[in-house]
Amino acid sequence: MSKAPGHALALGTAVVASEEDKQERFCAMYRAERDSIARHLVALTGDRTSMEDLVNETFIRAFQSFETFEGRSSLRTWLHGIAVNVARNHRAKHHRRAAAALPEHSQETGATPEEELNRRQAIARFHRAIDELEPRLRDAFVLRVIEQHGLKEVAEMLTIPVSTAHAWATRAERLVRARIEGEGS
Amino acid sequence: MNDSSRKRSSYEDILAMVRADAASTSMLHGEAGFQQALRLALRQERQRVIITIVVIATMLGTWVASFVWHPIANELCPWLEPHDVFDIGLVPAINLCLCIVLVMFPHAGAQMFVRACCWSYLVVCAFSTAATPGVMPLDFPVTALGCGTILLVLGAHGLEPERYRGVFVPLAHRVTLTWAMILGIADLQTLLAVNQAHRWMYPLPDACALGMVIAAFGLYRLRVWGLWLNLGMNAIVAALAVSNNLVGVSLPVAYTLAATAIAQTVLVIPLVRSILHGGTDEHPSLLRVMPWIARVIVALIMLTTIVFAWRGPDPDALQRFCSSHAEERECQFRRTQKTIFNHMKGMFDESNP
Repeated sequence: MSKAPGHALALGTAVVASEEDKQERFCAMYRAERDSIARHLVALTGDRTSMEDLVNETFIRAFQSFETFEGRSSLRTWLHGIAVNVARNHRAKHHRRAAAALPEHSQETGATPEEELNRRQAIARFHRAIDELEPRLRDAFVLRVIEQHGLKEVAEMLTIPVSTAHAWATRAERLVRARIEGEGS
Repeated sequence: MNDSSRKRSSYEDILAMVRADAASTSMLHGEAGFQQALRLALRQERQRVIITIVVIATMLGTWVASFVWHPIANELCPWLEPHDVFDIGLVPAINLCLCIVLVMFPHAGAQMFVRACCWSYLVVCAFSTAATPGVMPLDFPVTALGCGTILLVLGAHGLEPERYRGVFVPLAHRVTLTWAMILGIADLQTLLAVNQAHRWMYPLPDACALGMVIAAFGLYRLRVWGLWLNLGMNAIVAALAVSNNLVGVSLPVAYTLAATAIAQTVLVIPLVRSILHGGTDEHPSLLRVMPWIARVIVALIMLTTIVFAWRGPDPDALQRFCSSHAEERECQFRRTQKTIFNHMKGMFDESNP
């Protein structure tokens, strides 16, 4: 996982002097964290077309509710927690993980068209399996298994105890694995 | 490689592909788009706050004006003393002043309080205007329309999950619990305003207000007993209000309490089902529909207010209302005096057998 530069995340500890200062610091945080949040949101919603809007919404909501940040977790974890809420809201509005299915671009792997097609189909199958999970299990699975966040971080993002985060992620992975292997057999 | 290991590697392979695919995601546009979106969002939030403050200031201004210069409002009943009018407006005026401050706070609790006050005064003033056309002072429709406007302007802004802090941080059924809390506080506001208007002389509304305070506290602490008590209090208040047994509470206000109590009960049905039969969270379709239902209800209430307030003051209706309520007021006052006298007499007899 890419770690953000420390200076960009100093906002949480610094006394924000003015609105302009706060905006400037948020823009720095945006530069440092936007790709990470974008990946996070695509993994949670499966919707690449709304990605830019969702990333902006995440940062705007963080900016507007910054006074409520209590410093119990790192600012980065708090930001990812907001992204989880934004993704939930998006899913509730759009019912399904819109274009979860297929990745838009092919990676430069030198694969043949047939291999590329198989890869896309496999990813789409995986996303369909994730779609069938309960929302809470899906969030835990995406954060823990796909994004490989630590258990403590996942727990803080979902505002649940660490043991619950572990239970949800394990259960979700078992279900997704069973689904994938069931289809494969 | 045996069959089971082939299956396992298949899952691991796909997972690796998904991870690689997710890692390749990056933002196409730069910071300029974000800055523009941030400026727009901040401007909209400022506009919402300014509109709320202006509308509340207008309402309060109307109240003061109608209190000071009588002709701006409708004529009032001759038995209504200035201190009675002051008592009626005291709790709402204090709460609306608080709302002016609280609407600027980003915390969900402050935002919920603003909505609760607005809902309470919207429904009370709208029902009063509709139940007694041509009688209520113009402050009533002005307040109803003002509170409705604030509710429509604010919508769900400020109630995002990250704005919750302190004890009331629902992890599941957040929207349901938030609305239950808002309606609970709204009922409490209504009862407080009514009780203050009657100078706390009727024991039944006072007891209901106390029960609602305890229920709201339990709900705020996210305790299941808070939910049950809240439901129980709603049932009691609705039953008393509909059967016109809430002594001291006028019919429109009683209907207001009943309507909010029923709305609250219907609202928490999914949560109760979840507690009794197990379940996880609100259904997404419910989350999609609820804001629209709320907007339509507020708009309909505002429309009803306009329809009933349209023809303006009616001196004949006012005279009829004043004479009938003068008798009722006299009867209620004597009945209360008698109840208090009997109670004190009983206490005195017990202590001096």
